[in-house]
Amino acid sequence: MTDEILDDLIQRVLDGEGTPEEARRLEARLAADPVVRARHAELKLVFDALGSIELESPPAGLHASIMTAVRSTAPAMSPTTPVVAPRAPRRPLQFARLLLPVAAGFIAGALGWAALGGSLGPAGRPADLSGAMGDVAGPMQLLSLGVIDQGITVSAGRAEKGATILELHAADQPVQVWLSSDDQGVGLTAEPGSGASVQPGAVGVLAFELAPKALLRVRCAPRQATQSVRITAKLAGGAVAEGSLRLDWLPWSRRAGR
Amino acid sequence: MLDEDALVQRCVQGDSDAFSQLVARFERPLFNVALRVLRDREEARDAVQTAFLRAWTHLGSYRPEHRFFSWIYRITYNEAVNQLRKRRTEPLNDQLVSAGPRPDEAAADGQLAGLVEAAVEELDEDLRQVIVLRHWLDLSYDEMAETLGIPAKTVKSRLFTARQRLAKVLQKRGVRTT
Repeated sequence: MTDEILDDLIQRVLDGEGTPEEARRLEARLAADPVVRARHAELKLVFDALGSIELESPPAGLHASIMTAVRSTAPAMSPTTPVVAPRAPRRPLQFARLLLPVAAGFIAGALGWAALGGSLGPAGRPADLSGAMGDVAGPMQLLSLGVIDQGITVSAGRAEKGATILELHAADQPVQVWLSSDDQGVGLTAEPGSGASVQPGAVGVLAFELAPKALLRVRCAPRQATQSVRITAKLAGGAVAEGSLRLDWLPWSRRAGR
Repeated sequence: MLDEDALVQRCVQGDSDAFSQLVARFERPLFNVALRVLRDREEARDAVQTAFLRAWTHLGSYRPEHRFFSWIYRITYNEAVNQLRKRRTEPLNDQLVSAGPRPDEAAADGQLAGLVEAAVEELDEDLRQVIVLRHWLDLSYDEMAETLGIPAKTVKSRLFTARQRLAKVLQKRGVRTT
């Protein structure tokens, strides 16, 4: 065992990052080799010395003053808006390289799903998309977050007054989703009237958890001609996918990048 | 108790009570991070308050694939460093000087904690950071790597170098293993 490997072993075990097998191996080396014992003692000295220092307590009232500032900065949010509704899954997507066929009508590709191998399917227009979300012109464009492999699919459709409707559909496991606009200039409104309730956050920010097979619809209303919304999805296992959707008034253009 | 991810998600929805729980969870370690940079309790307090407020108003830019702590740690550290730079361009205000003994003074008194703190202060910044994160904030190698934006291998390497240097300083000052 080289010195470097030995040092790494000693450090990992002392840091509590070693495996039981590594701990046993070190134990055996310590019993057999005085040089190893000396190296171990040297490092242990530092651990013990650093352990003699305790974290200082913050000043009394710090928490209260932070929260006073926070609450005065962010006024009360608007009332609860239910957003999640279970629904039968869409048909599975065939994964391939992201290929956005320029759709007819008002829908053209707009998503730059970074590092994602998602693909598109010819999504039909959901039967119940009109109403609170507004009517959608033409078919929804269906996209998927390839990194998490069918963990979530996203459809985008163009609604009136320059708005965009997003449908986010979880597959067989729960997905945490964050929507945000970089400059908080996009009004994000979740569909009311179904499923679990989620409180909308500050302007331009929306977060929620989709139950397995649940569907969430969000209306994105840009306040300028060109704005974008970042979508981040996190599965229970920790896999994360993200992308950004550019909201243009006129035919959307593909955007790359995270 | 809700986990960090769940709390952050509620914060993004505008839930200040959830944010309050995050503040309670992290104010102490972050205060110590700021204190280590600024060496002044009042300034450290300001840095931490500013950092939390900044986090609250910029939750939209938080990337959930990273730990919230990593994000707020960087905000706090940067805020503390900025305050330190600002202070260096201003005349020293005696009222801002901490009441307690400085590490070097404590070291002169022979107190072990003071000796160690003084030794840590002498480390280069990148080495000092890994010591603080590991020994005082109890972060794992992977968490440190994420927080500092460096590979875990580099974390281990820096830790080892820092500990070697500390060991030499401590031995030189007569600290021995028990």
